Amino acid sequence: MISSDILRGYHDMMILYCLLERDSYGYEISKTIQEQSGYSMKETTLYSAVGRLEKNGYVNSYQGESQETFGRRRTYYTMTAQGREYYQEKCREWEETKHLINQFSHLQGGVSI
Amino acid sequence: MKNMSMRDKIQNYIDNVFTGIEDTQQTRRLKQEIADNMEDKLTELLSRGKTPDEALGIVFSEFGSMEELCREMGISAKSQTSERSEQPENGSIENQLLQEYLAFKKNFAVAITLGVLFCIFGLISAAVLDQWNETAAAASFFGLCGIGAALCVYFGIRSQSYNSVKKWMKESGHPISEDEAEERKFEFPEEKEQKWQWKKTADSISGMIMMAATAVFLVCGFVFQAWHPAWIVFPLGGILCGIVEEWCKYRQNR
Repeated sequence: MISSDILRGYHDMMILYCLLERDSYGYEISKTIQEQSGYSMKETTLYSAVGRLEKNGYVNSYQGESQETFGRRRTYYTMTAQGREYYQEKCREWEETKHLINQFSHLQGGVSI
Repeated sequence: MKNMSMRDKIQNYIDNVFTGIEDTQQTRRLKQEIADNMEDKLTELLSRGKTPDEALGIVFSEFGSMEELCREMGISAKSQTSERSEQPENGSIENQLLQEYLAFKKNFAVAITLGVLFCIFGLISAAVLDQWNETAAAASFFGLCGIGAALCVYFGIRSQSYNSVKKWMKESGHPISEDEAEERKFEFPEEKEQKWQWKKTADSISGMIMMAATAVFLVCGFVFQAWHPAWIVFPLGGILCGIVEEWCKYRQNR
């Protein structure tokens, strides 16, 4: 079980990942995350993160029509250039974090318990 | 048409969890988006063969926490102090039902315990009194056991009438403590609410029938010493309860 404290810093990265190739809307984002990893993001978590990303200029939103929903208008999100940079930065940060934490894991060798 | 009412339920849920939140353009947009998102999820769950109730339960349970949203988005409540005391007022019928059930749950435990105790006392007193007076022993046995049985039957039936609430709580995976229930608002699918109406009527009538049967049985027994043919009132009462239930269901569906 992954603690939600660890995940919290990486919700942004998950959402931005979903926007790398094309613009998307709320449900599609959470569905992509679910399909990619099996992790089901709560509604309020998703919109908190999206709101934060938008405020920081990493994503923009616009009203668009979806084919799937019989032309109902919905809010699409698109990644900005800063968003792309921020995503790469988050990926690097995760690599570093992973590397750092691994130094303390007996599963990575070095120590025996 | 079916989807229309599901949409309303989601909207109702969102309105409920957003009560007490400042009404700004930002929150209005958020509400709209979350509602759209939940509706998409619901549609998908239904297409995967979930029943409407199951699907709604899953969607609501994956909503998350308003606290998180407010903290992250910098949304403030209208006024934090009066918030709590206002809640019962804007509590929906469903919410009242839940409160009612939680209150009942306490009484239920007490009543069943009392019922069992009455029965035990009935047996003991009969055994003791039997040495002096057979009639008194029989009277105390049937009197006390009758009260005990009536308590158990009545509360058992009332407990059954809350089945839709219980089932809903289990399905949606809400571990409900009383404090939690007071803080949250719950939605019950419309169909169940209606079902509840006829069930409630049927159950109260059934309760009365069974009590009347017990009374008739005791009177026939003590006054006319007719214990033997009088027991027939119990199977008759059971059949009558079944008829009443069907009749209530029929009337509701018409």
